[in-house]
Amino acid sequence: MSASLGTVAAQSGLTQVDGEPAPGVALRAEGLVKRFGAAVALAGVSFEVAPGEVFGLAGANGAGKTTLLKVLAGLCRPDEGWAEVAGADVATEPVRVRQLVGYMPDRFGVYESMTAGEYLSFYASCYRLPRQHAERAVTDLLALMGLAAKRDEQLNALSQGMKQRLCLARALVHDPEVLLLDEPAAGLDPRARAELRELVAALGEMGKAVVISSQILAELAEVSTSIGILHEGVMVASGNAEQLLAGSEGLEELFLSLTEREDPEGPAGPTTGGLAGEGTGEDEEGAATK
Amino acid sequence: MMAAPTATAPLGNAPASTGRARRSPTAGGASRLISSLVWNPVIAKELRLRMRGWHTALLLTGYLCVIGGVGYLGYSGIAASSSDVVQVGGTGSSLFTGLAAAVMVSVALVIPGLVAPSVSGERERGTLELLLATPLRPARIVVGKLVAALALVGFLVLACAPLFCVAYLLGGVGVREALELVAFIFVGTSCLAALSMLASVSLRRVPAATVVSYLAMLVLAAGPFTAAYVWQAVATPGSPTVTGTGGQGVLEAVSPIMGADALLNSNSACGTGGLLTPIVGNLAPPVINTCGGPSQYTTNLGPLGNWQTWEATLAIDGVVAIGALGTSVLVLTKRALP
Repeated sequence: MSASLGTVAAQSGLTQVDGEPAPGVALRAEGLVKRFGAAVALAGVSFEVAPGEVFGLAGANGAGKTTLLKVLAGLCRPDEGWAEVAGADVATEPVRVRQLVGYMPDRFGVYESMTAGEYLSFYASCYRLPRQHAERAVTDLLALMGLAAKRDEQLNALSQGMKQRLCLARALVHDPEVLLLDEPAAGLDPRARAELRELVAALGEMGKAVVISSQILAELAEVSTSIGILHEGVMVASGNAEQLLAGSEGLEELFLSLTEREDPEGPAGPTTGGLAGEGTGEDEEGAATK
Repeated sequence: MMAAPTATAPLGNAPASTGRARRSPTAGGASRLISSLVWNPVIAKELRLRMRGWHTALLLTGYLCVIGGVGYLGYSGIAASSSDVVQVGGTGSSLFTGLAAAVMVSVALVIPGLVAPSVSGERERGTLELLLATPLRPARIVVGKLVAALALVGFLVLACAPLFCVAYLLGGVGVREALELVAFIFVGTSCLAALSMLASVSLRRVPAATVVSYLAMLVLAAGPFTAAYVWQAVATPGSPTVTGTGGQGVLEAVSPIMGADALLNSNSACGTGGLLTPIVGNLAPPVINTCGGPSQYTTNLGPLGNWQTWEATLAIDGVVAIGALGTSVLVLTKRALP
């Protein structure tokens, strides 16, 4: 519980890039379009994320964040445009993409009668990790998430926040090069959210490309090295966080100004703090009905 | 709480990226291929979760009570009516038939309940997306869940082995008959399981998938010979008992009930008291001759020639199972990558 990341590091199965993150692009999207019937969830989204970069994705409900992350995770085929993750095309190589990506959806369930250790071991076996390597990864990740003491407890005994952390551990179990986190802070208490931010920052420093969506814009700005603002399926702004936020009072103000400019009546109401993420997850249907 | 990260501490090094260091370089091509074919973490997960709950213990207990009860009642009734030692062989045969029929009916009632919630339940719980986000292909997920359900059915059948041994000791059944029965149960169960799997991947809710699975079972069991009856009534009104010929015969053979009837009766003397015979004999329409001796349980499969009806059922239901399984994989693949 009290082990620092440095302590965990000595035995962890997660890899890091030595020195500076490798140059290049870990994730690139170009003109992504996704329609659900007549509704357009993504209308030509383009952006890229370098290794070691933490890309914060902001957007109101139904803006297309979840659809975008699903496309990048190889779970949803784009109608137009293309995207590649660590060199793998999401449309033509979805299985390879899933091997390279750690994806945490905004809403998820767990196998309630499994223990925490079994849960992670099962997903490790889905990625075909060698047994010894998997056991070490499970041990390290449970320690990293502060769940080592819960290893043999069934998941129906864990709190929602603990399940959230376990799901994040699941996304990391195969040591992915790219992490796609959809509202990972939803359901976490303030302390756990702060720790999540530190963890995400540490993962970025290890050279992993992280795309994280959140409605808590102040926290998103704090953890992100670059930011994208998605509005009605269009990436209305993206770039280096410092440059993007220069001249504005913060991400919240920037977000409001950009989305209001695009839509004179204003969006339905972007959440800008408090219990962000709770019940705000969008899904395909949500995107489709927008 | 999560372990507090420090800005300078890396998370450490693994010998190789985990996702790419999974195969031993010394492993041979053949063993890699076999390992790749056999590897399916879904099977272990399904069996572990299923065995952990109380449902399976309850199911096994109830099932054994039913089969044991059928065996006891069947044996008591037969023994009471057969005082002659010469009839011991017939007693064993009848006991075998009764037990086999009870096992078939029980398994047929259990399998849709086992398979229908497998994928729809994952969807309801919100775990399907996480599963699909792994490199597991939909085919492996479907097959894994099906194999796990069939393994449990195999366990149920195996649990009755001692009762079948009694029939064997009474001399009424040989190894060949036992193997035929196992093959028939396996294929019939696979067919029902594959149809249930199709319902499970197609429907979002467990109750809907379960209801549709049981309806599919009913249609498969009763539909073909009902259709054959209608066919016969329309084609040659007034002709009471013609069976096993042309398309009508094939239609009859689709039904596992007909196959089971043919299998069990071809293994026992007609009218000596197999449990299925009186049931089917009463329920079946007049077009179906359920008690004509082994020679009448044949089905003409056109260019494939004459088959024993139960063998035809085995072949047809096997094709249905493969078709339903393939469609299930296609449906889940479409759902996995819309």
